[in-house]
This record gives sequence, C-alpha cells and structure tokens, in this order.
Amino acid sequence: MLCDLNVPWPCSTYNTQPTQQQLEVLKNTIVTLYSLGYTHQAINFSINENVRIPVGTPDLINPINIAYLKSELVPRFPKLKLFTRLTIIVSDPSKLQGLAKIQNHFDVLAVQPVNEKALQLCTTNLDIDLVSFNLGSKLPFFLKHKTIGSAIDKGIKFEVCYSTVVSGSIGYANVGDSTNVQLIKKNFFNNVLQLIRASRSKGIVVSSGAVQPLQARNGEDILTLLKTLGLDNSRAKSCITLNAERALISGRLRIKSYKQTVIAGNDSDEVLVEKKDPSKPDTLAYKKRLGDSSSGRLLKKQKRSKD
Amino acid sequence: MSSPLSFHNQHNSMEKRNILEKHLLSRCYDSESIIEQLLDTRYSHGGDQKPVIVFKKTFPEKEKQKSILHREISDKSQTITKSRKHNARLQLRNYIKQTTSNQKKLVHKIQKHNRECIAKSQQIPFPIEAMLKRYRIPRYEDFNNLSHLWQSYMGDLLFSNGTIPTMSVLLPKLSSADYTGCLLTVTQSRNTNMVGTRGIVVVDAQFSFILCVPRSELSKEWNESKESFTPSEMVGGFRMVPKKGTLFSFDVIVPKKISIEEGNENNAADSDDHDDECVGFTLIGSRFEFRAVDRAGKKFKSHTVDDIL
Amino acid sequence: MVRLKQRYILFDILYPPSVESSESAEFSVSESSALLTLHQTSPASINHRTLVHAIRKSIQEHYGDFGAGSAGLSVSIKYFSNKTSTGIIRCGRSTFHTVIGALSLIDSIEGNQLIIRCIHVSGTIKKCEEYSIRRSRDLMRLISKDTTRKKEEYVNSLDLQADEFETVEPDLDMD
Repeated sequence: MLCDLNVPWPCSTYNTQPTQQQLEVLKNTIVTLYSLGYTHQAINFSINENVRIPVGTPDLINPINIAYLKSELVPRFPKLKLFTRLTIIVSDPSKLQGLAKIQNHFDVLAVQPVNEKALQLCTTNLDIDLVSFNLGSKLPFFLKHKTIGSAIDKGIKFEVCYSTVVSGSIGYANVGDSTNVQLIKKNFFNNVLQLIRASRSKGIVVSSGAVQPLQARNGEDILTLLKTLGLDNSRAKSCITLNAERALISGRLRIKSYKQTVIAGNDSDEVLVEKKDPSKPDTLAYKKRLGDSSSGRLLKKQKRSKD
Repeated sequence: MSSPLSFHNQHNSMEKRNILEKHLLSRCYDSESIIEQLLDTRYSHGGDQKPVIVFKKTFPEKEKQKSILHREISDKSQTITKSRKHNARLQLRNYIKQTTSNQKKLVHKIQKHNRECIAKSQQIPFPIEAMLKRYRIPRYEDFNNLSHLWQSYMGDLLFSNGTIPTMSVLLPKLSSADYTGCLLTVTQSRNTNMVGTRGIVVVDAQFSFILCVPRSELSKEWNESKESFTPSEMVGGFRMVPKKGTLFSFDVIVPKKISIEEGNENNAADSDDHDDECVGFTLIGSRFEFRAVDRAGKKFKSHTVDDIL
Repeated sequence: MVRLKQRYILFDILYPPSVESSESAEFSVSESSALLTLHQTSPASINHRTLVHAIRKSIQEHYGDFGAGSAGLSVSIKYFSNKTSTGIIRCGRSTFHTVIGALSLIDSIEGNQLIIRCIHVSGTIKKCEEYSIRRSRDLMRLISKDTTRKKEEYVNSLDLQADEFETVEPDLDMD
C-alpha cells in the first residue's frame, strides 16, 4: 500500500480554475501513479503565504475539486484513494495566524519554510504533518540534528520531492540552458544528502510532485537512488509506505478527532476511509440507528429488558 | 465538767453534721487529718471560726489550641480514612484476581469435559449454569443498570441543550468523561486476539479497561448466529483489555425528545420504541492511559501517530 | 574458486500519455486501457545499442567519471524485446544500485518520452525470466477484463516472449 503525498493541483491561487486540458493531465498522472502501485494519493494545493485565504466562505477554502476526481476515477480504479493537501510557503512566521481555521478543510497540512526562523517555528509551535523544502535551489540554512530530531519526535515528517531531478527537458523548458539544469540536479543531491544525514534516515517521506505523467517513477527505483546517497537500507522502505501513511493518519485524526483522543464515528475499519456523508452537517452525519450494528442490537436488548 | 456522755453526744452530732462536707473535702484533699483540721476551723466552738470552707481548686484538662479551620466531626463514619481507601482498592484487586482465576478454572473444567466427551464419543452437555453459580462468575446482565446509568449520564453531558451539538463541542467533553459503565467494543488492536471483545466497563484503570463480557451468542459481533462456542465464550465474566495500541468503539443513544425535534421526515414516521438513534465514537486507547481523575483536567496535545495502532 | 558475481536487472519501459497526443483522453477510461497504453510496444528506434548508450550517458551525467568508470563500462544488455518493452541488463554486483538509480533518471531515448522501471534484480538470468513470465501472466489477467484488438496483439506478443527467452544464451561469467 504505497502512498504518494504530492500530486500538484494545476493552479496556485484561488482565482484561477484549471482548464479542461490541465484536469485531464492531472487525471492521467493519477492513473499512471496508480499503475505504478501508489494506491493512496494526496492532491497538493500549494500557495504562498501572501495569498489571502477566504476564511469567510468555508466552501471555497478547498479549491480542489475532489468530488469530481473521485467520481471519475474511483469507479474505474477501485483501490484508489484520494486526499487533499495544503502547502504554505512560509518566510515570515507572523503571517500564519489563520492556520487554525483552515486546518479542518484539508486532509494533510504541510509547510515549506524558506528561512531558518520559519523552520524553527514549524518544528516547535505549529500543528502540521509535513515539512517540505524547495530542493532545486541551495538551502539557505544548515539542517541540524536537533531541530529535525525534535520535529520527528513530535510526529512531523520531512518530504523529499523527486520531480526536480526526474524532469528532463520538458520540466526544465522554462528554466533555461543545460548548465542551469545541472545546477538544479546538483543542489537536489546536496540538499537530500543533508536531509538524510540530519534526520538519520528516520521520518522521511518520498513523494513525486509529478506535474505530468512522465515524471512518475517507481518507488523502489527512487529509493535505490537515495540509497546511493546514504539512505539507510532498513529504513528505506518505510519512506514510501509507513511514514507517508502515518502522515496521512495524523492529518485525518486532526479533522476527525479531538487532539487524537476520541474519534467521531465508529463504522469504518480504518481512519483513512472517508465515511462521512458530506451533505449532512457535522454530527448528524454520524448518526445511525441502533439496529445497524451488532453492539447497537445488544444495547437495544438491554434497554428492552430494563423497561 | 462535762460528762463523757455529753461530750460523746456533742461529738456524734458533729460527725453527723459533717458527712456531706467530709465527702466534698475528700475530693480535694487526700489526707483525713487535713480534712479534720479544716472542719475544726469551720465548725468549732473555740479557735478561729472561719465562715468559709476552702475547697481546693481543681484544674480541668487543658484544652488544646485548635485552629480556626477545625471542624467538629460529629459522626465518625463520615470520614473516609486513608486506611479505608487502601482497603477498598485492595479488596477490588483481590476480587478481580479471584474472579479471573475462577474463570480460568471453569474453562479448564469445560475443556476437560470436552476431552472426555471426545474420548467416550458421546455428547453430554456441560452443566454450565450450575457451574457458573458455584464459581460465582459475574453475569453480564447484572451490569445492565450500570450501563443505563452511564447512558443517561452521557445523554445529560452531551445533549444537555436540547439540540445535537457539533462534533467540535462533543469530542472535548468525551475526552474528559468517565467510562465506567460504557459498552465498549474492541475494533482494532495490535493484539489480534482482543479484536471483537465487547463488554461493560467495570473498572476504568490507568492502563487497561476491565470489561464484563456477555456469554455465548452475544460475546462477539460475529457470534450471533453461531451454534457452538469456545469454553471461554461460554464462561463470560471479566476480561482485562490493555489500552495501549487498541481502538475501542461505543455508541451514545440520543435521547428521544431531541431526535424528534430535529424534524427529519423519517423520524416522524417511525418514532416508536423499536429503533433508537445513536451516535458512534471511537476511543484511541494509547492516548487514554491516564486515570479518570487525572483526565478531567488534562490538556491534550497532538503527538506522533506511531503508537496508536 | 571465487567467481565474479553479476546482477541481472529486469526492467520495463512505460509510455505515459503525453500532453498533445490523442490517447490522453482515453487513458483514464479504465484499468485495462491505462495498462495497455503504458505497456505499448517500443518503436524500432529503441534497440540494444541505443539503450546501452542512453544508460551510459545517464550514469556519466549523474555519477560523473567515477560512476561511469566503475558502473557504466560493465553494463550490457542481455535481452530486450520491442513488442513487450521488457529487457534484462547485466551489471556488476557492487554497482547495481548505481545502475538502477541512473535508469530511473532517464526521461527520454531517441526523442521518445518514457519511464524506465526496474522490476526485479537477480543473480541469474533464469530467475529473471521466470519472474517475467509470472508477471506477464498477472498482467494479462488484469487486462483481460476488457476485450479489444489491442489486447489480442499484446497476448500474442507475450507468447512470443516466452519463446524468445529460451534462445537467450546462459552467461559464462569468467570475465
């Protein structure tokens, strides 16, 4: 059960809607990833911190049309599960006040820090699931064992996005000449090396960031590539399976439960299944008849014996 | 020249008169001679006839300086002493230990009986009811009242306003509630043997729940239509389920008047006693490893998800 | 007698639908159509020679002269079938990580956009073949839910593959 937590949504602001062609490319990407084995995928909406989030209208906070995608794809590809994710590119920590209001609308929350202060803020105060970096350009700060280790103990995972290396000529079309391309690859290797060293191979999640189906790669191959960079053999497999799954679960628990203590609803076998009926408001969606479940019937019998 | 008789008479009358005083003075003074002397000074014809008898001052018990917060406890049985608490805990522990060992003995008995049946190749039914009485295994039905109490407590706690509130209001209340008397079902666990166990919580301890499980058909969710059961299912009794790495689920019945007020069309049609509505929740055991006392005021924070299942 | 041990990498070439082509609309229609498009036959321009050339170029680009010397020179193609886009590469035991990494970083050969995916690594060719046959059987079962002309072509090509494997010579690695 492999997870890919970064399939980018074509738009990067709230104003634009994706064109039909872009939606089709997105669908093809999802299907290619599914054929490669990734059953759980999260569609990533990446925004700058300056973008104003329409907190007033709760329906518009999540622009990803997940219902459309699910209705198109899930009937034909039964094991596919789609989730939504938000990534905020942060350079100034004080702009992150509104995080609490939007956190219930996305399944996974991620932050991309640009400077050291933002990184420290992410790993101490915020209630997020993933931290990702822009691996194409040289990281302006040095990754330390302490900060990353404390973040991993808290439950925050670090993301390695391999689209920058794998892009080929199409991905770099708007970047420029080949020397620039080489620089991007060099930076990627350097940054990933630093990350693997500072995290001691724990708490790393590998994701694709594939804008088009060509950029999808087999998970094992990417892990082999990272092994040449020093990723620990025993912890490698968990980068695409366990760690990603855990990031998903912690994101889902944020929505469905109170601080990971009590979860709403007890029908589904796993936390990841979206059982809630979106048409009904909140608690009513979890209401059911006593006779539906075996324990309910037990309760009913008790009640009858009392009366 | 008074005659010895008259003196004697005088003496007698004096003695008769002073019995009460002597009695009183004997309280103050130990020796007789002092008493005589005092009485002489009081009652004699000659000498100094003092008009008073001085009784020695008795010193009462010196009262301890009590603090202003001190309360006079009238009834000794009201105080719960430390030793009584300790005894209560010990008694509970011993009771549970004894019940579980009785259950084990009964299970062994049933297994032995089954083995003998196979050896003789005949089907003698095991006298389960008599055995249960003899070993005093607690019955699930005895805890029904407790379960009702808990349901009404939950109904008051969650639905006190008359309408069904949102999840963000309900869930925090649930995290600090007490679960003694709740019908819990183990839905997922690291220990696969536990999955499916369900029962009423008898003790909400720090690291585990002690459930009283029903017998035979009701013991597991998938047993409702089965014919034959394992020995431990036949016995029922207490089960200790550790909280770590386990998910428990339970239902809270929505009180009748609230569900009717919602105005659903379905409700109006079949609002009879046959089917109640309920809301289901799941407890994450690894996050509940605190005593109910500690949980009441605890501020919960998000942690790593690694140990939840 | 200490033998020089090799590794045989079984790989697959996938053709994802590009943005402009006409297939992209039909790609996500069903599982079988997606699989058939991905596993389509390779054009004739991709053969043993061009593949080795592409791999060596990728190793040189990403692992430099050091990688090219240690891994690149001992890479050779043992088997490649255009019809099924599957192949077997031989490389040294200590350097197969490098080769697989370089394989995944290839994005195009002779102008064709493709994804190379490593399916199985083994010490002998025979085991690679057996794995490949089992896998193609599973794929066939998945695809056979949908009956089209394309599917029959694919099925025929898989039979051919099973025959072709028998003609691959066992490798005498006394190099």
